[in-house]
Amino acid sequence: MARVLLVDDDAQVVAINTRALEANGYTVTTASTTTEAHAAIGREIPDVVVLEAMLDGATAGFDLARSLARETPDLPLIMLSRCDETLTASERASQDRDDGWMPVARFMEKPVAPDVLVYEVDHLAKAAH
Amino acid sequence: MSSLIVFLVVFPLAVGALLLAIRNGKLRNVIVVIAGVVTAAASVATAVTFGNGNAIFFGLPSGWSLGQSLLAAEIAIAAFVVVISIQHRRILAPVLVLAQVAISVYLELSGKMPELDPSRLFWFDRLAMVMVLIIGVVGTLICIHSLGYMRDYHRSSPLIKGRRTVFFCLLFVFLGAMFGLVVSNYLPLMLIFWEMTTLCSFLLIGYTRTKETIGYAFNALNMNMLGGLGFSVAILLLVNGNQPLDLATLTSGPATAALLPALALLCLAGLTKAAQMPFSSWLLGAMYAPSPTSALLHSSTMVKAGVFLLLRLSPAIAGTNLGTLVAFVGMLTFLFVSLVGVTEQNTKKVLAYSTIGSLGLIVGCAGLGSPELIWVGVMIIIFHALAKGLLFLVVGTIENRLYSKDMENFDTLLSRLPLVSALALTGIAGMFIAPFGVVVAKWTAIRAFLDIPGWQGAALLVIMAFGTSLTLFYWGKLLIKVLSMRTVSEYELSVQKRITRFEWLAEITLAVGVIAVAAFIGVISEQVVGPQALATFKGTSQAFLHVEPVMLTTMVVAMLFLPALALWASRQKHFDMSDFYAAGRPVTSTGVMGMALGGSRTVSLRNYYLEGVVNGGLVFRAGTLVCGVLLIALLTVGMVVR
Repeated sequence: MARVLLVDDDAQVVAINTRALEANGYTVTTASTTTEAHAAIGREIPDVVVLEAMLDGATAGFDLARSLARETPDLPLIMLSRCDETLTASERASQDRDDGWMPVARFMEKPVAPDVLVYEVDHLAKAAH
Repeated sequence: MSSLIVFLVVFPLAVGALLLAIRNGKLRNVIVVIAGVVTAAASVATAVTFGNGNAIFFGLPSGWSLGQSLLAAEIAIAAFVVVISIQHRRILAPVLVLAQVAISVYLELSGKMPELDPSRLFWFDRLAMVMVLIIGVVGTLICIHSLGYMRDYHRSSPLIKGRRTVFFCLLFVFLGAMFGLVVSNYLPLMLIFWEMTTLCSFLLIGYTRTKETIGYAFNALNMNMLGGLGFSVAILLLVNGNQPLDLATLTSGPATAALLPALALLCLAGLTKAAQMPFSSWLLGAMYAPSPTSALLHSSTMVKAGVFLLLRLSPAIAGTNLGTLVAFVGMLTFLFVSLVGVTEQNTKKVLAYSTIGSLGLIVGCAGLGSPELIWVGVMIIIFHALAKGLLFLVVGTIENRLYSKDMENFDTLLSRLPLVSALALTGIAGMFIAPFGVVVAKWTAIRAFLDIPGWQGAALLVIMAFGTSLTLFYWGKLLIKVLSMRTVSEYELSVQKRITRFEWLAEITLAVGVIAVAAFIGVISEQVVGPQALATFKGTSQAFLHVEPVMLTTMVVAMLFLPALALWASRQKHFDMSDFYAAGRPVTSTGVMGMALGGSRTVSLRNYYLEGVVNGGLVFRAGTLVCGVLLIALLTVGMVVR
């Protein structure tokens, strides 16, 4: 049974996504800060990590994604975010790059339908195996 | 005219080469927009210069000559295919392309090639004009749309290495090749453009370079190269039989028995390019390409090259066994894919099945051949290019905002993306609601089928009735998803604001185009399509469609009413929301149902996909088998028995 780590400080989003993933046979662990996320991965490396960019009161999710990509390059990452509300125009323009602006397999702006998230997790979990 | 045509071919090729060197995104945006406007303006200028006159033939501007450029181009294409196939360890494509080169070299060395008449290289008539306008205007809009689409595409999938320099280069090279294809009268010249479009399609399908997309790209390449080889062998047979390589001369009237083998092979090329069964699978794989590619190549233009060639061949094959077999391949493809489309949940694939079906109808019309049916074929080309091009772009925009192509995730779209929904509604209406053109064309086709005596007419009517009913089913399902509503937060509504201006420009212009061509259907029929149909079959005056002013006004009001009503509805803040019941248990508006033995379940409203009734894969394979048998008959009986 594949394991998913959900990293998000929005309890409602976590609850909805946990329910959807568990209904589809995934074992879900949750974390609401980058420290908790590192600790959870230290205990057991999941099959897929779904993380928010806006963590720890700032954009710490971006740093978390970079460090995870460095430390566990085979671990697929999905970023769900509302960061567009906070990013400046120039920050957003810097994301328009051909060589990948963030080491995540998918970047999706919220709201993301739980079914869509399950589809993406399925896709990455299958590819990883 | 000659200079304009050369400009239409050469200018996009030059822009493509320039774009290959441009890495700066903003500069690329400027170049694409300016080049797009120039290309569209040149295509309109070509149509205006042509006026509404009879077909004209012409050559290259003075001082220009083809020389050995055709052979050189063919060798270059072959070398590219061989190298890329070796890289990916594929065997079929290089075999097919090398066979083509061998034929060309043989013809060149044998000295059998007939003397080329330099004044009849190009053929421009109303059909070519329609195609030039579609490529120039719709094609350009799709290129502009891609600027916004590709930005969000790479933003949401950062690990896919962006190769936008190559992507935009290929789009423009493709436009140049398509312009060349639709105005060519000399078959070897047309073949070069034909193969260039195949190559562009192959490279664009494999854009992401994943194992999956490379597989689909080679599938498309193999099937289209098979058609290309058929085209080459047809040229070889024509040369050996001392027949002209002048398309207009070959199709000036019913074919003699000696011409049938070559015509059958040209039909094979047309059927592969138009993704008719048994070759439909390549178009479904092509749906993994970025959405603007699907809109441009695999809906509005490239696949139309297949039906364009068959419409050109129509006067020669009509009334022969070959023509009848071609027609039944098209009509049965329409029936089979319409049924498979009902079972499909992936919206892009539904659009692909609908495209294959619409092309099947045009193939049917071309194979049977009559002024009325040519009218139907050209009308479907026009309306389909606009409506389906729009729908592919809209689905691409939705995909970039909702991250899904699954029809079930398009629920309550009118509340979430109101303007996009209104555009989708216009595109869907364009495909299946009266008084838009596709429905009008189908009605005319039914009238024409009634005139066909015997079992053939009856069979075609039955196929049309069942096939059209099935298309109604899947369009209706999509429409329900698009038009459903719920309360949304301000934040959810803000998602629509992130759609780029490039996408809005292209989609709104295409939607206006869908409504405009429907409003002016009478003029288009009387001035363009009707005369073309009569000229093709040298028919006498015939009224295909008469539109009364009152009827026209009603049509325009009806067409504007739909999107306006949708937008008005989307602004309503209050709904009569009520809980519903499932299995006798109440379900809340958030979709939670208390279960009889405790606990709760989330329920959802789903469309009906005939699960357990129709096996889509099985139907597709059955269609491939049936049409495959017809194709074998076409390449045997159709070749020898008139």
